[in-house]
Amino acid sequence: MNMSFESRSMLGILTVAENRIDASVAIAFKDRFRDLVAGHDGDVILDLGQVAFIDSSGLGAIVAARKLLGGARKLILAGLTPAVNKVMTLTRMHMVFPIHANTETAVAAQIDTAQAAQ
Amino acid sequence: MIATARGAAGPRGLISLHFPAQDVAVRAALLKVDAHLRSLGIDDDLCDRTQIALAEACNNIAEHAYAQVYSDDPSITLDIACDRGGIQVTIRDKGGPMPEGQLPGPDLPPLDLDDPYLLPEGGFGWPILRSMARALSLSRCNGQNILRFRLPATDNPAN
Repeated sequence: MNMSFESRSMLGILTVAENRIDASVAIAFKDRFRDLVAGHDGDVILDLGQVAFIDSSGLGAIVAARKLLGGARKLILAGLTPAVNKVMTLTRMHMVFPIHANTETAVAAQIDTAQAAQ
Repeated sequence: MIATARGAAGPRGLISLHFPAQDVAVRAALLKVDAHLRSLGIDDDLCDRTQIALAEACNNIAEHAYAQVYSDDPSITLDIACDRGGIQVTIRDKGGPMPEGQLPGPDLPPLDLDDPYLLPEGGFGWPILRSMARALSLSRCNGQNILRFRLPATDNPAN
């Protein structure tokens, strides 16, 4: 599962460099997510801009990944392609995850939120 | 796997695939269907809905139908026909019957937005398939499950 992690101050940015998150990679996704965010304390942006397709198993893996962050942190989704957006909306998961058009707008929104809180 | 495509005479495009009921093979089959539909000029939205619906239907067979019974050939046969009104799908398997012989309903698992630990990680498959598919039916004949549904060209509830 080709996924990479980058830390920008308190934000973690996890990029999925795969075309699909489906039943055949759902467990690998969750395992890789856990490894990549280990040692990171802040919120995480999951960049799905390269993911053209997700099925219910892949969705379940993203929900499981969100639980790995605990109750005090957020998993923010960025760059949903049309098919991924359709699955998120159908399952109401767009109400669970903050969603941004791309990673840059997600980062900007997080910085704004952090500044407003100061 | 066998794939056939026909021209404008008769159905615009037929594809028939036979593959193991296993997640990697399901992915490969879905990619073949997608490439075929796109080569016919089917629009992105209908291609996406087809991928989503086929994934849920085939994964359900791989994960549940063949989990109940021993089979020396746990496989899925997928037939797709395209016409102006959309896509007609027929999926056959030789796994166990659906419990009670009934298709699961359209209800999504309960969602508690206040507690992330209570978020559902499963139970999405049938609601997703039901929201995409029209004229969904399941029958059983000679030890074979036959799931049929239609994906309308335009995703409008009136279809």
